[in-house]
Amino acid sequence: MSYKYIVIGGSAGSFQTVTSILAALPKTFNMPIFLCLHRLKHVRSGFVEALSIKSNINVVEPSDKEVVRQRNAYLAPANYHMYFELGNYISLSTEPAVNHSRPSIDISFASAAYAYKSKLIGILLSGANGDGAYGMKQVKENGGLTIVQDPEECQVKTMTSAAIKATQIDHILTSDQIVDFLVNLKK
Amino acid sequence: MDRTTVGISELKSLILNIKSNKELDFSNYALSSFKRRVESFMFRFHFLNIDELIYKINKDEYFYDLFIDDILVDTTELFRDPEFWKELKISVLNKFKFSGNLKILIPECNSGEELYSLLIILDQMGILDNVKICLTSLSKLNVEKIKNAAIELKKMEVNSANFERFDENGNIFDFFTKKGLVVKLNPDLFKNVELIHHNLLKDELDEIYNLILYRNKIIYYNQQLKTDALKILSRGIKKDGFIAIGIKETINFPGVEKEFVVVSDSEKIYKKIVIE
Repeated sequence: MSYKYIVIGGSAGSFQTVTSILAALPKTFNMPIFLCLHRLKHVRSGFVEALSIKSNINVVEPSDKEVVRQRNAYLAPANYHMYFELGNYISLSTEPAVNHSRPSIDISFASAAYAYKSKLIGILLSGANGDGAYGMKQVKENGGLTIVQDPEECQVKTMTSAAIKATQIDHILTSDQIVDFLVNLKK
Repeated sequence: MDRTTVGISELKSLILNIKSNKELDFSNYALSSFKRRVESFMFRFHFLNIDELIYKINKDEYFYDLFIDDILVDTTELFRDPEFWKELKISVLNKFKFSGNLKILIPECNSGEELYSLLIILDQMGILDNVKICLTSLSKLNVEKIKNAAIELKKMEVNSANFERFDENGNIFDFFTKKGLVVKLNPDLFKNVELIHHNLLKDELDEIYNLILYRNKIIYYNQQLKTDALKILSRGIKKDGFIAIGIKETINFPGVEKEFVVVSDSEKIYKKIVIE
């Protein structure tokens, strides 16, 4: 399998799904994971800690210009957009909100798609607005793999439905199937 | 969201053109976010390819100013990171109560939010007369915009919420006058402020400062330019003076530990301990 990076987007409501993904992945899982989740902009701490509790891999909020390393999950910080540079490091930005969101999933996904091309898997989870649809389209157009959580399973379908409408989705999976898919990637 | 896409070679030709014709150098900007802002500008102004944009920029001076104004990123909130402003007040500004003739620099601004936030605190503390503040911007249009100090009313919800986290008894509207769909900062607060069109990467700073506010600027630079800018600014700080950078940024050039001590690790405030 040629995939080397994973970017996951969703709103705060997809916290549970992200937690179960991180809990299921083995310590040896070596693909960097980028998490762009809508979150309260003024609450700076607590999110990384909460995601870390059950995670086998290291979860961090990157500093600006932080180099991307294997076996890390990078959570977009509150009130910043998260971009990826061609030299495999992260840039942050305080540009205006996109789709009322900062971090915006469209920005992170489109940027990851450009930087990582066909090495990228984009996964979009439950969410309450259309942020992420354009990003998923970029992932697909740059040769990456697109996965959305089955809208039937989502608390709010808006985000996943918008992505399914916007571009070709390779797999529509339940959260358990997403976990299985990722765990089996490296076997 | 923007739908125009621009490749790296096209971006490089734009950057090269601006560098040779306009004296601004974007070569060492963080390419990812620069790329998106160019794309979004092109989409908004209906440019189909980079050559059309380059042609228009070269031909029309006002349009070039508009492009620069748009491509440089604004700080979009007053009192962004309320905890930062609390810490700045306690650890830095409280020390400014007892001396006059203090100098503060806010370099490379594209909007006035950092300045206005600072002015409001200094006014609250009654020490506006103790300081002289210099704000610089790379864009002529931005200098005018910042001087005008008008904020759209619809943005005040976020600003007001931030301010209440900074000062739970405060009301940010006490410092503004409502004029239609905008609010304007009380002009008395500007008495010791100078706004200039300046490029610190090209022209040396004339003064040295007691405090430099430089939050969320170097995130738009690559590692090399980031280091260059911090080194230049570090020469512009007085002994025992302070610099604040964004909460997700780091000062990490070689030898930096001999120049600065950390005042607040979480809010990224540093104190200069030696002069080169």
